[in-house]
Amino acid sequence: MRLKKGTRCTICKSKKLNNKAVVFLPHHRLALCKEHFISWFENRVEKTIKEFKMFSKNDTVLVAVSGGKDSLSLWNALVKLGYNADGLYIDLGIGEYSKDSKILSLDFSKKIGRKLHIVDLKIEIETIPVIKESVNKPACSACGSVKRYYMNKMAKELGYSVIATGHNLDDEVAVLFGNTLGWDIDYLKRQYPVLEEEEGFIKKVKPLCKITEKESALYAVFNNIEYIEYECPFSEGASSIRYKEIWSKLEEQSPGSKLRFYTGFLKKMYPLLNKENSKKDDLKKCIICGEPSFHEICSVCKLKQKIQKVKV
Amino acid sequence: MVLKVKYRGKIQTVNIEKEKVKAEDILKALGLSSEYAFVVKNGEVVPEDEVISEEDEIKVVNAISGG
Repeated sequence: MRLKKGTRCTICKSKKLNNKAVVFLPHHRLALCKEHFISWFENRVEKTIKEFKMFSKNDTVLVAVSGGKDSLSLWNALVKLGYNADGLYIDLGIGEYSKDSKILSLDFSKKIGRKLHIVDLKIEIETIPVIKESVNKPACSACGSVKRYYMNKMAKELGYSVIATGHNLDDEVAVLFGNTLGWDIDYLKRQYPVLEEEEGFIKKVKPLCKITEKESALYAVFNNIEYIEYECPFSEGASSIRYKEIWSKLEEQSPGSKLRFYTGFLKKMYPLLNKENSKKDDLKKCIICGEPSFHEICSVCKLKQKIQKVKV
Repeated sequence: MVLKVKYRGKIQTVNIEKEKVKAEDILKALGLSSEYAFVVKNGEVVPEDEVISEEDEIKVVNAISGG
């Protein structure tokens, strides 16, 4: 299914206007002009925030900004919707990729007039390429751990009440698919667009969880948001990209499959998985940094220790 | 028709053996689907059946990323 040149915008048509559609959303049966796509996108984000009780206008939101289309589109939409949202950029030290994405994030924060906090991983621990070489861990795994750690730590130190990430529907479907393939119950139990605040963890939310990756890119382009267009060099061959390609084929043949898979999980499977109060692992405080951890020493402090050993 | 296309931050040359080229032909030549990719012609997002000429400034956006 595709958009034919000359198709009128569904909303304009209902208002007896003649504007042509430039976007077709088969899973919503909508053909939209640029203006109505932008307002549709922002309404959908607002509805998602309210549906999952993510935050209110009284909250201070810290957006995890990578310089990519999703985080910048999310930040733009939240500010336009009137939320009190600043950004946090973690400089991972991945060569040109980090340099370019940092400049784009800084430029964007100036454009929208909001604060961008920056954490330099080289100062805190080491760059991701050095970490990858020093410890026997894939780059993406170490990267995910340090990003989660510093997002939470910085949000607390800077006094924000919620952390918002730009995970979109395709990201959530790819993770859900991967976790379902392996029946990873512990991960499935936690796959929800809101992770409530608990023992040292700030509340974390995903307001783009019902927005597809293409919708997020379209919103960025329509709003002249300059974002990093090339991939992180470490993401090559990532299973999430493979899963996304598989799901794209399904979606082409049966529009709405991704949304059905994800929202069906949230409505039917997630409550079942969390029906019984299973025993939770006790959260402790890391004896070195004081951050929440399931072990005496948290994964980031362990990482720091390993790097120190390698340096010596 | 030989077109210069900006894709993933780089300029690529795309050769399409057709006289009348449409946006969907460019996506196909790059091995992309309109389910996750789209064409921007002279700064405007265009439908898949939009006709493209050699003079147009073309950018292709592939929304799939590693996440």
